[in-house]
Amino acid sequence: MDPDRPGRERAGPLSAICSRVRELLGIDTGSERFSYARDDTFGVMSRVKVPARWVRTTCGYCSVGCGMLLGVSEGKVVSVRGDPAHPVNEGKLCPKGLAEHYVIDAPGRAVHPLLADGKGFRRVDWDEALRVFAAKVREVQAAHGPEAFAVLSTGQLVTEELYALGKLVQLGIGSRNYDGNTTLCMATAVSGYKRSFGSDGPPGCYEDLETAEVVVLIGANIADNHPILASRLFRNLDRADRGKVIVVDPRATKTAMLADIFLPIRPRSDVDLLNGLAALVIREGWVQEDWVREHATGYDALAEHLEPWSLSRTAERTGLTEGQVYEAGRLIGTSRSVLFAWTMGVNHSTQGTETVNAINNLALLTGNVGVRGGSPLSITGQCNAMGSREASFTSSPPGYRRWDRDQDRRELAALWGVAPERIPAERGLAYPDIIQGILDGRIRGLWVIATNPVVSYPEQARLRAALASLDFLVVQDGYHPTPTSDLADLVLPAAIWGEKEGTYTNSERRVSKVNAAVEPPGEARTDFRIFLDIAEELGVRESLFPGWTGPRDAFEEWREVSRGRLCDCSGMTWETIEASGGIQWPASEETPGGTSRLYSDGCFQTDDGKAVLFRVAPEAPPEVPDEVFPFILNTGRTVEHWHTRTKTGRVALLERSAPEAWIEMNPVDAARIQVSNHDLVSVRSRRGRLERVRARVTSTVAPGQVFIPFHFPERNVNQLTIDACDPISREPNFKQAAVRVEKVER
Amino acid sequence: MTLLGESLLPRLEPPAPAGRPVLERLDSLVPASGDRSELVLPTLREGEHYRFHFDMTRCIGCRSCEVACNEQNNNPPDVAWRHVGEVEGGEYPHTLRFHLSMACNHCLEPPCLEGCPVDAYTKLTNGIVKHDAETCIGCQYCTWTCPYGIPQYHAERRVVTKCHMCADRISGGDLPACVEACPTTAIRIEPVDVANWQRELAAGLAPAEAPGLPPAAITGSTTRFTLPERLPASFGKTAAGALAPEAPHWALIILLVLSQWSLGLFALAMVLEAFAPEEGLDAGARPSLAGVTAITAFLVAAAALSASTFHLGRPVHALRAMKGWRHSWLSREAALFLVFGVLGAATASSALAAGCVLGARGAALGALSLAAGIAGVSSSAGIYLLPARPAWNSWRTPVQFFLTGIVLGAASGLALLAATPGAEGLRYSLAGALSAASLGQALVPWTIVASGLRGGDSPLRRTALLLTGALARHLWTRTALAGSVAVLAPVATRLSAEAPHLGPACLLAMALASEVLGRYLFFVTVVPLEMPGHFFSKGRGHGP
Repeated sequence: MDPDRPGRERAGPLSAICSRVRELLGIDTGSERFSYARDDTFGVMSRVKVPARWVRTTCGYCSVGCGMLLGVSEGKVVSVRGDPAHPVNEGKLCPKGLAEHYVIDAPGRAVHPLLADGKGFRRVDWDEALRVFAAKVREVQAAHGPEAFAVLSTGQLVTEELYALGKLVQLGIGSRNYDGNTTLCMATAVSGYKRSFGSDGPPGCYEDLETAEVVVLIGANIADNHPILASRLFRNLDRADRGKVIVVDPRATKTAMLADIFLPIRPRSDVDLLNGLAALVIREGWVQEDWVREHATGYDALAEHLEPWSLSRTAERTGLTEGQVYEAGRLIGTSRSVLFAWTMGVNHSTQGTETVNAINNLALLTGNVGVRGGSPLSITGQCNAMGSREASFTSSPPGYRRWDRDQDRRELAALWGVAPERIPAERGLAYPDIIQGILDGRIRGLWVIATNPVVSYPEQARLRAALASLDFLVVQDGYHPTPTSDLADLVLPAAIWGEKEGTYTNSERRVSKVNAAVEPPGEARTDFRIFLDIAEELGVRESLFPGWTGPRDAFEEWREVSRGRLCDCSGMTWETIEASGGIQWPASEETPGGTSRLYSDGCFQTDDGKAVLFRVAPEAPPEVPDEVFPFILNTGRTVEHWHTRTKTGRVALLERSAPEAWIEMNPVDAARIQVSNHDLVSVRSRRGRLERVRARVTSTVAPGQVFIPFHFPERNVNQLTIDACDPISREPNFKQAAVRVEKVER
Repeated sequence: MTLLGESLLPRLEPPAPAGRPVLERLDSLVPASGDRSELVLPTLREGEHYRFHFDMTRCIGCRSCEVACNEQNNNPPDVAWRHVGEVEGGEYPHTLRFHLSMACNHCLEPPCLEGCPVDAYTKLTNGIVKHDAETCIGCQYCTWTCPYGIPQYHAERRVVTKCHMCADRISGGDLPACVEACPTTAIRIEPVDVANWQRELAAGLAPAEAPGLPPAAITGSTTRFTLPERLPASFGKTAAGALAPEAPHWALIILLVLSQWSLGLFALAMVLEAFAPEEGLDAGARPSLAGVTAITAFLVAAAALSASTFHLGRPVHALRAMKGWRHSWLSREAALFLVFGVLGAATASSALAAGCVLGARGAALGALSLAAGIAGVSSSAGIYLLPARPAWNSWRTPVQFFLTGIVLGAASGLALLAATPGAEGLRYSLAGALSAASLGQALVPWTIVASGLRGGDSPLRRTALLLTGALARHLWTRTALAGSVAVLAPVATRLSAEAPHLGPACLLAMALASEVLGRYLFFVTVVPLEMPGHFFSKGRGHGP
């Protein structure tokens, strides 16, 4: 089969000419290739897309965790369908999911280990690659200490791989300087949950979208970023007694169009809004005071702290009207159930964690934690960001254990049969601090796994300087070259989604099964195998992974490690997960069907079992506009693309609707700098410059603000953003950079 | 917790040994939750068709329908049978942005079907307007006649293709792929009572209009819309794609210019045959001017007809183009030009046989050729008189086409007569005709600019904006060329005594260049009616 023309037979030159002539004359219209056939499951479809078999799996893009069926014929994935029986998506998929099979056979897959030799890359075999890897790690660690080697992983791996990697890095390589790209994404939600409830773990579930009397979406553009959650929300809106939707966003997003109340707040006035709403709830007596006093600490102090947030002050700080604030507060305060859902609009902030705490405050005050239709629910980004949170040994030891709790470390040590001293008592460096560590010369070797910082990290100039100063950079990815793998000293080719087996946890704590439909290309290996191979090379395989052969061994160990923890997976097996379309933890052996919501009993994971109410004082963002840089730059996504576009940039069906970056700008501002739709502009910040960005003149952004999607390496908005981080979660403030926009004269 | 898995378990085959589930067959996958009546194909009663219902209040612009459609039909990315456009209005923060996911409207009076020269289209009894790729010859005329831009040329297959509402799925009792894929059930299919809908359309009461769409009554669009209660007074163009020129269709430029030139030459031959002796030209000369002209006219016509086949995706089936002569201007053009070519060939052979002299028989055949040519050029013009393409749909099209014939015929006459003594009167008459016709050609596009820029936003206005914007240089060149020809025609005629051939030959070259450029502008500046596009739409979606 000709790979470019499925269904067409490869033939000799003469018959190729013949067939070209037949095409040119119009004798052959390729009718076979474009005919239809009946699939037993899904009915009539394109003949070439009818698979020999369907393989059930979970989508590998975002954290919604949709069930999918991959259609496989002759070792290729030829089609994809939503799994109609999956409880998350009931057969529906977003456009990325509907075209996800194209990422597997896409051009640019990494197929051989490659070693940089100064002139370019030289193909090496796995033995050599692993030898070099181990030698370099030892070299760096011998010269600069064990923690001079750092690791950046991802929410793209299956939990089994994350679990194995955590052990490998913390115990095998012996460096605590290990973090995930999840710190660019949802670390803030993690920190916020830990502070308020004593543990990470989103208390709510998607069903709450369907049942809530009020759904408050804060900095969450689900219509673009989690479209299947929008379909769940419509279940609510379709009921006769439908709930109300409040959308808080500085942009009039697609999601804002679904709102009953759209609160177009000033950028970074979210704490003021949340405080103002909480103050209103208290003032008006809508607070569930008995419950709050019983199940949370800090109520009186909070009430006192919130006193200054009158309606007028809140309105003034947020740019809303008093009426808008009151109406939103009234709905939140007087409704039976309120779901507070948020994403990067909250997390990407130097005050993100406290903002999450302010959301949690509001949820606690109104009794909306772990009740049907009511919870503070962080909608996560990556397919397995949650798995990373649970099992990766980055921001906490596996199983939501605490670094500073001896008992937690002793437990782990016992489970693993190692001395308790080997379990670190303190977290290593977080992602931004690893970058700073490289710039400071403390970190000399870096292993980057399935992530692409050369697109996704803020303030690219600093990041590039850091990567360039490393002694050894190894990049493990499914694709090569990527902007990051291009800079590597060693490239390890990895299998991707569709080629690997394991589990993902979605935003509602649902552990779903991920299955391999096809073999990885060339010499690419699953990340799991690479980790085991490295462990072998380092001589730690038997001590860390005794008798392990595949990811199932990791899952079985993870069941034990999570047993009795909040994220208890001990009651699950791969088979029950598979059959049920996913199980929400905690799922102990007594409750194998899982748990829809956390904290329904009002008992939290803090030492005293009570949630904590935080007094949050709003802080200014790290940069504010001035005369030279008069616009506030907001960044975000578009429905067609996933993160740094390594995958979706290779899918022509998605590229056709979003082939390049653009800058959204209000017509008032556009007129002022004489820019029309489709004109090219340059965008400058104190940190960098973007040339020739296409202007999209639209009233979806406010005057004085601009928006650029972050998916595009060619026009990388992270050249403009600022590397300032939340002091608690260490998540960068991707939003609110001050920029200047100028028309490019043609 | 909804654990739907229990009910699913029996349907799943046991995991394969490697723990990899291999689902050879998944019969009757039942949605995980209760009533999904929108996922059931409705049945039709007498007098009913299927139609799309699009609910603009539910569409979140996710484009799942687009991708599902391409996947269902194995269409390449540059073919989009379903397309999600955007419309936006209002001022921040009261901005309203809506999406329109549109595929074929399966019209009651489909102009694609009407215009198709080979009857590749059929309206099925269930209302679906279906296109047959094997019948299609790739002339792409339907891509012009549809006011929604629905039929699309599939370059790989060299034929047009379009949405057929997943006819094969419907006949198997399944829903179209877009309906199944839509996460918010914004797209559905439902029955429409045809007679009732027709009445509603005629009365302007049908819920068939949506922001940015051409009026449904043009073609009897069947798509029903549910619109938001709050719609802004007007939708701006902020979401629109860039205003880009259409394809030039070089084969058609050559066909039109050459066929019109050929017509002009036949007319010239008739004039020469009739008036040359009166002007004192040697009537008995062999070869005669009229004879040479007629032969040339045929050669030009032959070149025009050959060029036209290059426009077809499937040139091997060019002759099929005449099949739809009862309803399609394109068939009529093809048939009449074929007659024109045959009569022209007869005229030319008759002249050749007589030693390049027309004679009575040749003149009679020439007159018949001329008549066929006039009919042919008229049907050429008929092709372009399309409501879907306002810049073409006016008196300008036939006038331009015949003026091209006069310009090139007269310019050829001047060149031919340049070295001939006498014939002063004829030369000045030709020069006069050339001047007048060329002046007309110079002015025609400016009438579009004038009327286009006068009104509010419309396709004609956008044609005017293209003419004065992206293609301003072309427009000025055309104006200068045609204007120069008009001015220089009498001058060159007077000067021809000094340099008998050079002036008129240059004039003919200028006139030809001017007409080719004029026809180029004709094609690239037409802005069709179509559905709203989005920011990155290519060549579509400039709004209402």
